[in-house]
Amino acid sequence: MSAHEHHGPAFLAHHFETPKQQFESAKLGMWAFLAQEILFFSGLFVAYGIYRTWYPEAFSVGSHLLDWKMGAINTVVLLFSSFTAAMAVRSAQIGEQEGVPADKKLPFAGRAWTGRLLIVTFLCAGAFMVVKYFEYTHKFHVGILPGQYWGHPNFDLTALPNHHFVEEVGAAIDAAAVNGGPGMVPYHLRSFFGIYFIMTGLHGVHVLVGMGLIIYIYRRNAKGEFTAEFNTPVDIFALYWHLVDLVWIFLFPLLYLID
Amino acid sequence: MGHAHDAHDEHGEGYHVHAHITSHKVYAAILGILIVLTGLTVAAYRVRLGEWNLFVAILIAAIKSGIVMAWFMHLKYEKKFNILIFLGSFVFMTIFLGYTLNDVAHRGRQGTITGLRVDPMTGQHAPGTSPLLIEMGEFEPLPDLEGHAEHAEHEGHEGETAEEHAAHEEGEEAHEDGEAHDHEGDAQDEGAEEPEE
Repeated sequence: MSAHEHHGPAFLAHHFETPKQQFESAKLGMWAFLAQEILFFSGLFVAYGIYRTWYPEAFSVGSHLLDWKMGAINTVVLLFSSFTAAMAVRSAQIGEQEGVPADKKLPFAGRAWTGRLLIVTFLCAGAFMVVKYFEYTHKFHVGILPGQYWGHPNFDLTALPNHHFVEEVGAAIDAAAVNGGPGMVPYHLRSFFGIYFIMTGLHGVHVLVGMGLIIYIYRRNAKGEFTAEFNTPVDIFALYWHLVDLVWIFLFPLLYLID
Repeated sequence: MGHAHDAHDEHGEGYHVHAHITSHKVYAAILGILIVLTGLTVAAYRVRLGEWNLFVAILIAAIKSGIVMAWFMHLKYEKKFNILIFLGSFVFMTIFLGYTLNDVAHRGRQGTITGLRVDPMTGQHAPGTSPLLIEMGEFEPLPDLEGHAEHAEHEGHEGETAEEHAAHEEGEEAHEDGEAHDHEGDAQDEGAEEPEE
């Protein structure tokens, strides 16, 4: 069949022969992109590994400056959003089920459900960012910043500044299993927080991009573009969203749970 | 389970997409397993396992990500070529991580003499040898050679262990580039440090 004489359904782009070819091309492209994402983050994980090997004390103390409960809540929130994203794909794949008897219809499926599940996914992403916002602002307020800005603006342990830097860092040093002794601030805490802010920051950017994608997918779904025959954009978006979840699955124990 | 649709049958096989549709019950069960594993991660952190804590944390994270990939990302039902591309990236990541960390763990710190385990001049640990490695027992602490000027000033420190000694050396070593020194080095000159930061 030539692509020119009878081109098939409206969703089939001109340069594809069949919907199947179009779908498989999209999937291949997405998997290649996700492989790139893994390699992109692997650079950060290597940096993490090197610095953790070099400065175990800084990582131990730094980890105790993070609130693992916040990290755990965010882990569950992201896992749940991955679940709703997967359910949205399922809903779009099943489609409207027109002509199917009511008792034979699969639950949680159809355009309305796809929309609802996308909204829940969006809200989870928002909740994740809100928790992250509170974590970041607290760190900034106390004076915990990355790299050379560490301890800014009053990095002076003898003159008590008007924030809780001394108490917080002191408590973390006491709690850390690996430390340099009472009151000793590991110099490379600044490196730990450089890595912390870059890794969680870039992950956060991915979450924000994902939120933008959800809005885009939601609008297309509301217009009725997705059917049982064509739902590739929902599928592709969900793959991206699961990858964001995957990265966090590793970030949580590696940053928040160091003894 | 089912097929995307049966319309347009006139096109025959290989025209339409036949997506694998997973049951919502399976997804809910997967979510439950993932949350339980998250709890397990936190529980494992509370148990002091020493070096094994990191291993356990990474193992659980790997299991969790495997589950997410297999079910949520439908990798179980994906074309083999796509699986190869995606999982292939993990192979390269492992090479990247493995070789780099192997190098870092056995070389000591950045900016120091590479490849030396023991300073041939003094019999000391090579400058930059990570205190962690000494702690892990990869390096047997060596006795001080007497009369070596570079180490003379440390002899006054009472009860100083070999690893602290090694750390002092690193601190001094790194003062040259002003950047990469650890806190033991800082202990003596903490006050002098701050203004530049």
